[in-house]
Amino acid sequence: AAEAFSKTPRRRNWIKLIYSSSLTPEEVLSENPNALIKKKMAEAEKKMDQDDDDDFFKQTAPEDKSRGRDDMDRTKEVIDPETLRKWEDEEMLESLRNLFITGDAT
Amino acid sequence: MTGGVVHYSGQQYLRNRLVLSVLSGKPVKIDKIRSDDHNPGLRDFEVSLLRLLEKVTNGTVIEISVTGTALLLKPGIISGGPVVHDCPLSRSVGYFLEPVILLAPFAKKALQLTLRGVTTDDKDLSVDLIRTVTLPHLQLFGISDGVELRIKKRGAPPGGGGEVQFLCPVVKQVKTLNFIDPGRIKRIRGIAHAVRVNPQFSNRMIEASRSLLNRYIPDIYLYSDVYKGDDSGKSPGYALSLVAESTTSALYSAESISQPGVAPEDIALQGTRALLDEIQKGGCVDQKHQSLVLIMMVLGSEDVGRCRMSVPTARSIQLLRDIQDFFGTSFKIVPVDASDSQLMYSCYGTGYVNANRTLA
Repeated sequence: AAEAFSKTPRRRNWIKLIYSSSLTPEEVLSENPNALIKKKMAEAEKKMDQDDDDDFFKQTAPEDKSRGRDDMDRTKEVIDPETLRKWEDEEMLESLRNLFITGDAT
Repeated sequence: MTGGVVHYSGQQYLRNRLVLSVLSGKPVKIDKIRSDDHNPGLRDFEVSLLRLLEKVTNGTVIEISVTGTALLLKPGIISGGPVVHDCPLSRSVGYFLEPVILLAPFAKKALQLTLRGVTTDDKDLSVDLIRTVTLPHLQLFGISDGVELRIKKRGAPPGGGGEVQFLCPVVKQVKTLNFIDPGRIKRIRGIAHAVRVNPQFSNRMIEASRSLLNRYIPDIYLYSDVYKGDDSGKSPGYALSLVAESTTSALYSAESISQPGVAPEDIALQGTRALLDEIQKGGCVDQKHQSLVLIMMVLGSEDVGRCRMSVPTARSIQLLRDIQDFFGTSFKIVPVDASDSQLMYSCYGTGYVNANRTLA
């Protein structure tokens, strides 16, 4: 199934990413979720190998990055002034015109 | 899943999980709640939310571990009726209202909920957006007559002092949603409010917001909402809430609230640009209301419901997974066109029937 994934690098298979991958929601939304899936699979394999060693003490898994974030269970996304900067641009503002009834029909 | 108990770790997405538990009747167990934190366990607002759920339901059993890092909720029936709740000032009343809105239509008796606390903050939907955007979304599902949110007093953080009343009728079933045409925007409405500051601030916000929006459309009405005396709460603050409505009644919303040391004009521009962001994302439902619509779609009658929306937020992705845990329903999500930014969400409704409703 991994090959089928990589054939369409830009298009996301949302159903697959949401329901049959172990990625966190943030990872699903990241630039290249398919690469992350591969990475995770490799890590899991590595872990399997390590499990064969009979070390008594095990290092706990490093703190999951997604934990702690979204700690607040907030509905509104944080307004990031940087991403809003694009609306200072005249062309950007004009690009929305067709979404209003006053714009030309597309 | 052991014995029908749905099990999660971590405090994230707590509200949606509690709502799904109450709606589905499946108990939920959540552990490792900030277990690695310097200050572990549930926060005051989370405990308060659990107390509120206890008030609007009957027979709900909530067990919280001694350390507060684990909780078990065995849902009872949603009872409704008159309820009064004082919200902690750490979160706005929106935090508490959002989950209750999903439960109230399925109560035994119509809910009359009075909430006191902070009415607008930067984390959750303000009372203005809930009134003008969230509640109209219920109409899509056939819940309309008698749904109301009255803003009796405003309360800005940190002092709060606001009061709202939420009225919601009960329904037997919700309608299947079929919302696939986003239409084009025909009007923009907004509410600027300022409490315990110079009342000119709201006019300055309106002026600034108009400077960006006037180019698009003439039908813009931004209302300056003034609350005086005791009705204006205990702390100074101001905010701008904006709603764009399309020809097919799709609603896009955004808001921005006062920050120390930032001029009202800049706050207004921030909110207005955030609205443009939502408009650009498109779809029939804005990103803040994906959760509400997805949950209601699952509860729809046994038919295929469809809704066009933009890409899911992280919250929505987790919600889709959680919905599968509680209801066994999965959504079909496919791109509408080649652009990949517009998706069609469809699912087969569970035919949820309000079994709590007293038969007249």
